[in-house]
Amino acid sequence: MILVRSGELNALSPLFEKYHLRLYNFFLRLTKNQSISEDLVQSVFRRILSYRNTYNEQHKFRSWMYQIARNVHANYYRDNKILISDFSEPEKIEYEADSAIEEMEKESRKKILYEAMDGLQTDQKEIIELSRFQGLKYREIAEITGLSETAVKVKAHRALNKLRELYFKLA
Amino acid sequence: MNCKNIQDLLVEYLEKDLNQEESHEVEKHLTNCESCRNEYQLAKQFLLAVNDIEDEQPSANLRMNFNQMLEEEKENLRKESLPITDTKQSNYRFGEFLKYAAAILIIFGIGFLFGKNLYTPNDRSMEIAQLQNDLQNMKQNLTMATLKQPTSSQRLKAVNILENQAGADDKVLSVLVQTLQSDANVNVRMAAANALTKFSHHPLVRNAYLEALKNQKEPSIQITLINILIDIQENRAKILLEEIMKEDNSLPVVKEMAKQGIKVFV
Repeated sequence: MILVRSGELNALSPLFEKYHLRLYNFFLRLTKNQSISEDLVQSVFRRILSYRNTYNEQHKFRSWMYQIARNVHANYYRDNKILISDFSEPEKIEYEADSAIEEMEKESRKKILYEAMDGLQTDQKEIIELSRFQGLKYREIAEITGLSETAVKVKAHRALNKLRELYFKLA
Repeated sequence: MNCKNIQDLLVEYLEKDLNQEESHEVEKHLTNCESCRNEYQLAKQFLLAVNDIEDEQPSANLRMNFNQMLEEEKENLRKESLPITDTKQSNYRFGEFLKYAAAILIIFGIGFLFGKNLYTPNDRSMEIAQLQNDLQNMKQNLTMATLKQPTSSQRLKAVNILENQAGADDKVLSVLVQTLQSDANVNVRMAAANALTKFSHHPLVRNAYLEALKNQKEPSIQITLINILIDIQENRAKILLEEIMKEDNSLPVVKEMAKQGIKVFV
């Protein structure tokens, strides 16, 4: 990213390769809409390009990128209170299926989980997304959200327990 | 601890996030309480679902759009890093300004002399008309010079000013056409395309639209151009539309527009 800041824009391509899939899924799980998620990923990288001069190498690129992603999502959410879902059967990454039954169970677990996610508040969804699905450390999430590390930990636990309850109700 | 407390600790228990005392308590409770044992099984299943959530693949558009954006930004950067041509341009513009300013001064001077010597109202109004005309020309020239500015917003503004002028001569049209064909910014090209619709009877403009449809690859521009060409009933567009239909890289929405367009021209 330091290279990008100094005007070597081609250096952004490897960063795109590394993160676009994660960002896309980040937005996909928050918005449940594939084309909107693609647009939002594009917005993140557009902002990274326009704000490249403000990048500070003391922060990790990853944290900075998620900060931007959160803002992009917050703006989107503010402007579009009605959420439209185009969540159909999406393309999946190829993986070895252990057995058909296990596959089906997995699918149904996933479906229930997504439904349960809908019952959470946006900030709870976000913290689950960051801590669980994007695999960030509490310290990193604290940096991204501006909360203290302890607050993040408490929030994450609470959100996960809430999600668990919702999941049980649906299961 | 009651069942609710225990159930809230299950996830942490499964992830070994509890201290020894707490996990003992959970275990003790689980051996005695059947409903919490059920909850425990469900919590296990829940964590499994959370932990093996899979990523889904975006469409190819995402990478395509990213690469396009990167290219545009590189182009902008390249232009900004050419300050030499920039100063040349502003010198040139200043020179032009001086030229017109001088012309106006001379006209004023002459007008004043004439006015003093031959004091007829007819001459006066002719002078004023002449002056207004010159002023108009000068404005137009300055605006056209603005189209060479490095920032797209200034160019966009210039296109809008040119569009709003009542009668445009060939010079203005050719500047707008050039902008439509080759401006680096999509929005400026789009504005030029729309500005030119006022002069769509002009053969120069019609040819420019066809040329643009052949060369422009940006879907939004393609759609605008197709709409304009249908509006102005330009039959020569049909061949180009058929090519777009055949092109693999065209977006489905553009292809659909092209298909509709071909129907109109049949």
